[in-house]
Amino acid sequence: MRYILIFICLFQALPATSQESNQSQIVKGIVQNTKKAGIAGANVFIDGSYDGATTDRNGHFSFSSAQTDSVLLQVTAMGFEAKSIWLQIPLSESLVFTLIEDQHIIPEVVVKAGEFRIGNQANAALSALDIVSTAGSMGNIIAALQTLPGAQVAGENGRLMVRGGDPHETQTYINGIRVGQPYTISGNNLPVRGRFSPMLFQGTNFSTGAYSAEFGNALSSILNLNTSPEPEDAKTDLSISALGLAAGHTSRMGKTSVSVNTNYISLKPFTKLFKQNIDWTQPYEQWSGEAVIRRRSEKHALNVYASFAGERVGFRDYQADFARDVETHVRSHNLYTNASYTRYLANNWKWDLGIGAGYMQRTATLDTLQIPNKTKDLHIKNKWSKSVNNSFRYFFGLDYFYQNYQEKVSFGSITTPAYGFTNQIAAGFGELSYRIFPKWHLDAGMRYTLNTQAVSFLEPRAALSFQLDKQQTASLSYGIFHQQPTEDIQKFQPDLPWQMANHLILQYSYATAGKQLRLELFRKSYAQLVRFERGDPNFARPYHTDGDGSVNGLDVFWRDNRSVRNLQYWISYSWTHARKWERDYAFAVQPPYVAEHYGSLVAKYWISSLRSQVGITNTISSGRPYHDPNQAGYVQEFTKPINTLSMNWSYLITQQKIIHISVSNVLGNEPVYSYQYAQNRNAAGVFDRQAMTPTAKRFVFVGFFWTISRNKKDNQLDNL
Amino acid sequence: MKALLIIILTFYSYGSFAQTAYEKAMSEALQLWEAGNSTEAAAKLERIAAAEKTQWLPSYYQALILITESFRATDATQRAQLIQRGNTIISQKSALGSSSEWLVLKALSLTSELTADPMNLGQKLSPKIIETYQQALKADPENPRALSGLAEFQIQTKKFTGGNSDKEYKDLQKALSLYEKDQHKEPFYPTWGRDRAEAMIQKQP
Repeated sequence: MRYILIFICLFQALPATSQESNQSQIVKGIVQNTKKAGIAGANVFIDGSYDGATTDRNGHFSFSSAQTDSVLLQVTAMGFEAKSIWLQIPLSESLVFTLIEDQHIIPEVVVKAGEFRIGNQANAALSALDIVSTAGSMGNIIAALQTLPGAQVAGENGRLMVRGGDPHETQTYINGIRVGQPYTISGNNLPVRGRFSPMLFQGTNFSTGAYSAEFGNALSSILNLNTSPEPEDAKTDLSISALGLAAGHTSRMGKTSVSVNTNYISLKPFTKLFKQNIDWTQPYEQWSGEAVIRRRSEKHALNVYASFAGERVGFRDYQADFARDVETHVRSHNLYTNASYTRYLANNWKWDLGIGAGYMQRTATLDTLQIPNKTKDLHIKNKWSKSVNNSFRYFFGLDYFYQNYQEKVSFGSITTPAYGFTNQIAAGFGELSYRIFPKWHLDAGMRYTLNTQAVSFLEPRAALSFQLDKQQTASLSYGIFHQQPTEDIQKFQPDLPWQMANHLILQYSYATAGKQLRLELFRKSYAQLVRFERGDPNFARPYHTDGDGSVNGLDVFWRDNRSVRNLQYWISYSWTHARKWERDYAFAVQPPYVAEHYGSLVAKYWISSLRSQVGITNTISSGRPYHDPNQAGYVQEFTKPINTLSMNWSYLITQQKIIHISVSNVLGNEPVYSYQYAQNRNAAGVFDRQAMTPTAKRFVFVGFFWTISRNKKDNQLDNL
Repeated sequence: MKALLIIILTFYSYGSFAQTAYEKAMSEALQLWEAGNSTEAAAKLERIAAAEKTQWLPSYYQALILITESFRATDATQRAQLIQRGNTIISQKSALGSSSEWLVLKALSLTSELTADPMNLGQKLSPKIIETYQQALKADPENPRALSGLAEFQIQTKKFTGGNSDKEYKDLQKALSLYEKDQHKEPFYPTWGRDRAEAMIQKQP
C-alpha cells in the first residue's frame, strides 16, 4: 500500500518536474525607447500565466516559463504605449522591444507661438479662476485679460486690443461660434465691459496672433471662450452687491443640467456715493437673464446658451465740438443664442455643429439727434475632426456668416432713410497637426473665404514647434489674415475690399512645476487699411484702401505659483512699436490707442488664518500719442504715463458664503487717457479740447455671495 | 480505503493547488509592496490580473499601488502618468468586485490630482471627490474606507477654508468600529485605512 502511495505521489509529481526541467524556457531580452535607451521597470510577461519579469536599470529582463507553443507576450511601461506580440516558445534569440512614448498620457506640451491657453489643461498659462480673481477685473473677463502680455485696454473704451491692433481687430467666439456683440453698451469715452459672466467658461483660448485656420475675419486676434461640457449639480446662487442683485438656479436630471440666471445691475448707488466727473442723467442700468442647458452622454454633448439683456445709460458732459454740455442717452436690447452639438463617431471621428444668432437694437440720442440701429448676426459652423493616432490629427469644416446692419438718423421731425449693409461670408477651413519627428511638431492650415464683395482669398497658417528639452520649447507661427472694414465705415460704404495682415511670431517658453516663462517676438504687417479725410466717417467721404502699417514688438510673461507658499503672481510686459497709416491719419504714425510700453503685476495671496484671499493688480502704461492742432507738427504730443493699482479681498464666512471687496485705482491717480479736440476753431482761433478721464476716481465694489447646494463645496468664488 | 483517501487527498490538493497558486502569487505581490518594492509588486499584480481575468483584487491592488505612489511622486509628469494609469485600470475593471471599494480608489485618485495644484483645481475637484465618496458609501454604507476617506478629506479641506470638523471626527470614530466589524470572507479583501483613521483621531485638536 505504502508503495502505491509513493508511486502515486511520484507519478503526480513527475509530469510537473519533468516539464520544469526539460521544457522550461528562458525568455530574455531588452526593452528600449525609440532612442534605443533601456526602459527600467517595464513589465514583460506571458499573458495568462504568472510568468514574467520587470526590466532592470538598463532595460534587460529574463525569466523562465514552462509555457510552450505560441504565447502572447505583453510589455507595459509607465509613460509608454503597451505592446503585445505572439511568440513561438522556445525562442532562439533574445528579444528586443521598442516602445513608443505615450502622448495621450502626458498632455502634449505643444506651445504655439501667439497662443495663450487659460483653463485646466496641462499647459494652460492661467486657470479660469486666475482670471476672475484678478484684482481690478470686477468680474469682467476683458479687464482680467489685459494683464496678459500682448493685450491692452484703453481706459476710455474698455475693449480688448492686441499688439497694436484696434479693438475691432479682435473677434470673440464662444465654443468656436462668433459673438457679434461681446460688449455692453456705453456712451462716448465711457468704458464697456464684457457681456458674459466669467463663470460660464471653463477654458479660454486667447490668441495674440497667428491663430488657427478655424477662425477668420480678424486682423489681430481671437478670443475663444469655452463653456464646460459637463452638466452641473443642482444649486442656487444668490448675490447682493453695491452694483445690484443676481439670482441663479441650476437643476439637474441625470445627464442634463439646466441653469437659469437673472441679474440686475445699477450704478446709481455708486454714482450717488462717490464723486463723479460727469453728470449722470441715467446711471448705467442693466437687466438680463440667461439660460444654459448642458447635456452629455457617451456619444453626444449638447450645450445651449441663450440670453437677453436690456441696458440704458445717460449723461451730460462737455463736448468740445458743441462748446457746451451735451446730453447723451443710449439704450439697447440684445438677444443672443449659442448652441453647439458634438457627436463622437466611430474611428476617432468627431462632428461639431454650432449655431450662433444675435439681435441687437440700440438707440443713441445725442442732444437732439437720434440714431437708432439694428444688428443681426448669424454664424453656422460645421466641423469634422479625426485623430488618426497620437501624433497625427486633422480637422476640416465650413463656416457661414450673415450680418445685417441698419441705421437711421432722426433730427426733429426729419428722418433719413435707413442705410447700412448686409454681409454674407462663406468659408472652408482645414488644419492638420503632425508630430514630424519626436521633437518637432507642425500645425498647418488653410482657410478659404468668399464674401459678399465677391472677393475670395486663401489664407495659409502654420505653426512649427521644437521641444528643446522637457521644459523648453521654441516655436514659430505664421499666417495671413483678412478682415472686413469696421461697422462705422461699412455702414456708409459697404463695398470696400477687406483689410489684410501678416503675422510672424517667434516664441520661447520655459515651464516647470508652478513656474512659467514666455518670451515672444512678433512682427505684423498691414495692407489695404481703410483711409479717409480728416474727421469722422460719413457718407460724403471718399474711402481709400491704400493704408498700411507694421507693428513689431516683444512680450514677456513670467508666472510663479511655487516659490512662496500660498502666493501666486505673474508679471507681463509688452513692448509694442506700431506705425499705422489708417483712418484719418495724415501718414503712418503710432496710433493714438496704442501705448508703447505696457506692463502688469498680478499677485494673489491666500491667508488661511483669515480664510481670505487678497489680491493686487498693478498696471503701468506709457503715454499715448495725440495730435494737438494748436501746435505745429502732427501727432506730436504724448499723454502722461498711467499707473493703476487695484486691490481685492475675498473672505469666506463659510465655504458657501463669501464677502468680496474690490477697489480700483487705490492710489487715486488722475489719469488722462487722451484729449479730444474740436473740429473747428473757437472765437479766439484756438481748437478747444476735452480731456478723457475716468468718470470716477475709484471704483469700489462690495458684495455678498451665497450658494445653496446639497453639495456643500460649491461656492461663487469663480464669479468674483 | 486508504487508496481512496489518497486519491481524494491527491485530488483535493490538486484542486486547491490552482487556488493556492493565485493566493501564493497574491501574497508574494503584497509582501513585495510591504517591503517597499512597489514597481515589482505592481508588475506582479498586473501579471496575476492578466492570468486571472475574473478576479478583481489583482487589478484593485495594482491601481491602489499606482495611486498611492502618485501621492509621493515629486515629478509632475510621473505623477500624471501614475494617476492616469490607475484611472485606466479603475475604468476597465470596476465592473468586477466591490463597486464601493473601486469608488474609494477613484476618490483617492482625484485627491492625488488635486494635491498637485490645490489652489487652481480645488474648486473643480473637491465637489467631485466628495460626491465619489458619497457614492461609495451609498454602494456599501458599512465600508470603513469610504467613511474615513470622506472624513479625512473634509478635515483637510477645512484646515484650508476653515469650519468645524466635529462631525468628521465622529465619522472617524464610527469608521473605527466598522473596521472592527469588517470581516470579508474573500481572501485579500482590502483592509487598509485603519491606521490612518487612528492617526487622524490622535491628531484631533
